[in-house]
Amino acid sequence: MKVLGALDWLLESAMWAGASLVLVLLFAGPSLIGAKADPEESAAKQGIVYPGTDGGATTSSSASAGPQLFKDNCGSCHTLQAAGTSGTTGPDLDDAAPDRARVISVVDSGSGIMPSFRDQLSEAEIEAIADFVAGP
Amino acid sequence: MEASAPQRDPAATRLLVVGAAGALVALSLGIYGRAHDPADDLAITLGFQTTIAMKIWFATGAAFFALVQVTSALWMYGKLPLGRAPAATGSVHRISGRLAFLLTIPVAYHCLYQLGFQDNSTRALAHSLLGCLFYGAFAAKIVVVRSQGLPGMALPVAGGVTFTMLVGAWLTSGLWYINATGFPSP
Repeated sequence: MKVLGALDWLLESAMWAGASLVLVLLFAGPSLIGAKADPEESAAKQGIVYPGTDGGATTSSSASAGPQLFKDNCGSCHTLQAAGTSGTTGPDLDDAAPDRARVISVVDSGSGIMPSFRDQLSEAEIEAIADFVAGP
Repeated sequence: MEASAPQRDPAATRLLVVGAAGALVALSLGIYGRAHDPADDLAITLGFQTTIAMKIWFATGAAFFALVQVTSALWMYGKLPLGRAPAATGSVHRISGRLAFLLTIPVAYHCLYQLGFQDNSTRALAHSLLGCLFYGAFAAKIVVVRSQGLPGMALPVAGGVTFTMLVGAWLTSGLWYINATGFPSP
């Protein structure tokens, strides 16, 4: 029981120390603990490009996010067999078969009634969608 | 005869303090996540191959220890058909809770600093909300534990809410990732 009590005390101290450290790091940045890296190293260590971030170039992880990104952001308006979507507000992308550059341009800037997704999607995400829609 | 001044309920006041503490913590984290620009300079792996592996392992570990804590609580409150809880259950309850919280710290730091509060999908929004609410609920629970004169249900409710928020945060991140790409090797 003494051992458990000591462990309990140790963990409580660690808890408060850890929480305090994180609060400091949120404002002071990771350089305080030597965890600061340049964007390329940071992206390499992440292991995945998270949706919504601008860190890192398009990686294989980003490419695999293309189908889901399309479903989440485009599928309600566009039909694309590969994604299993059947939206009818916008053009059927199986018929239109846009190339990669066209997809990037339209998603980034909008076209007609289609809004721009520049503020909702990162560059990496737009490229992932373009890779998925335009194919290899 | 003079009418007596309405008596304030001290327990109600204390409950308000508990709620305020939780709300303050949750809101502060949410505001930070919203105001802070997502970063691209954090490299933290803590011995794992990648940051995502660290996060998945730590978050899953936290969910596990949270389950241990809530199970030990149910046992102590006599809600499990296992007879009387042994004397060490209280220590197991506290230690598992502290371990769960400790494991969330580097995960939450990365989420808040590198990613920020996200609402680009329902899952991301739910996770962002649940993550902030978890720490708010945790703070409220700490106040409840250290307070006297609160209703008997205050601690179980605070503990239950904390557990629910943590598990919800894990479901909308760790489990989502594991379903999509499998459990990462350490």
